[in-house]
Amino acid sequence: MTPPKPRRPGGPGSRAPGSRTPASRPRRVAGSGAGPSPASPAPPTPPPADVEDEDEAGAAAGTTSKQAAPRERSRAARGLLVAIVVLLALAVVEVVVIVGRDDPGVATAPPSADRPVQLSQLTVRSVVDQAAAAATTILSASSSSPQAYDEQVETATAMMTDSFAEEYAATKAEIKDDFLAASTEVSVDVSAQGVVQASADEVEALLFLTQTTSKQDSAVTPVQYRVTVTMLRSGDGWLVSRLEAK
Amino acid sequence: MNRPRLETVLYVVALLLACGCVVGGVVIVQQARDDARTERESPQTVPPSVAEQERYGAALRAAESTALALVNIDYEDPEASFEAVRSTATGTFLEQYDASSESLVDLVTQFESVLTGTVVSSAVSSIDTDDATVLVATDGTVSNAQTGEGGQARNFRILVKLVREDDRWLTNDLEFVG
Repeated sequence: MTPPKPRRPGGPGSRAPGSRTPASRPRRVAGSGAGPSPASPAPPTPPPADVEDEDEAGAAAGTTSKQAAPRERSRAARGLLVAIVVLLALAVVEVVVIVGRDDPGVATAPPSADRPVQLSQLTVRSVVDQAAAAATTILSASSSSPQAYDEQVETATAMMTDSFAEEYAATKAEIKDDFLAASTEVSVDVSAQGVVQASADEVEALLFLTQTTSKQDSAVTPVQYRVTVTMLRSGDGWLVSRLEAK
Repeated sequence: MNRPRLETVLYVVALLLACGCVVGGVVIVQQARDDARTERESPQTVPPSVAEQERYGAALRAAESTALALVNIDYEDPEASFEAVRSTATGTFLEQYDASSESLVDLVTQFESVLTGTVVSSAVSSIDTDDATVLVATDGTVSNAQTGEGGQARNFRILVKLVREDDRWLTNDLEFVG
């Protein structure tokens, strides 16, 4: 590393001890501590002069201009600081607005008793319709032929999540022989339907159903009951994940 | 090497922040335009506001109150039971209920009926600002002189039609779904 080069004639040896050096390092004068903060107000006494400023001002500049330059800078710095604070505040407000704008005024908490439905009316209606159609398919059954029985199971499981489909198929396989032997026919009608609760990914629907079951050796017996159907959003649309009699 | 002056650093920081604020402003305006367009083109796909979500909750609670009052009647204090229903009713339903309450009190007292029940589930079938239709499913028992103390199960499916009056949901019509 080479020592700073003096900009004025005369080498280091020619300077008197304690005199200002033309290099940029020694900027302080005795008693000035860490030096004046650029942002702090101008002190009543003349601040220590900067060597470079002194150079720029030239030897002809008087004492007044030597004091005015740092004061000007201090004023400019203060103005910039105020601008930065204002801009920072504005930036924070903008970030809050942008982040919160995805769902303006929409609660993101899970459904609660106070706010049970957090999906649009159109979506809710569509999913509840799907739940009603799925329940009708799932609970109806025909014994006209083993193929018809299997087809109904296949159609119904296509509307379900994997785990519920597995459970349903196992139950249907278990009762298949008895069901066919009794020539059972089950049909289901939906009397009323509604949404219990709904979030972005899950909708619970309540259905009032009337199920009519006829068997070879018995009369038709209509049964009225209630079921809740839980629909889950998946890549394939909304699927039944649970069906529970109430 | 010269250190950058403080004013220069502050100036650069202020400039960068100003640029950021301009970009943020443009994003906000764009988002607001998108939201407005979505709402204009398909208002029903817009997620419900907090107030709309709370409307569902309020309608469900109101319908449950009526249903609960209807399935809890005690022959020892039938007036209290009927008053509980009345306090949740309005319009046609209130008129019909008032008209039939006298004969109902007679029946309940005569047969020493005790009807108890709870709400199992409730659901909104339709709703807008001032009207709603709610399904309520209740479970319960009825005991009277004929059934003995054990009673019989009485599970109901009730369709409650509500109207909003003075910021309160009240039952305007009610139907037991057969």
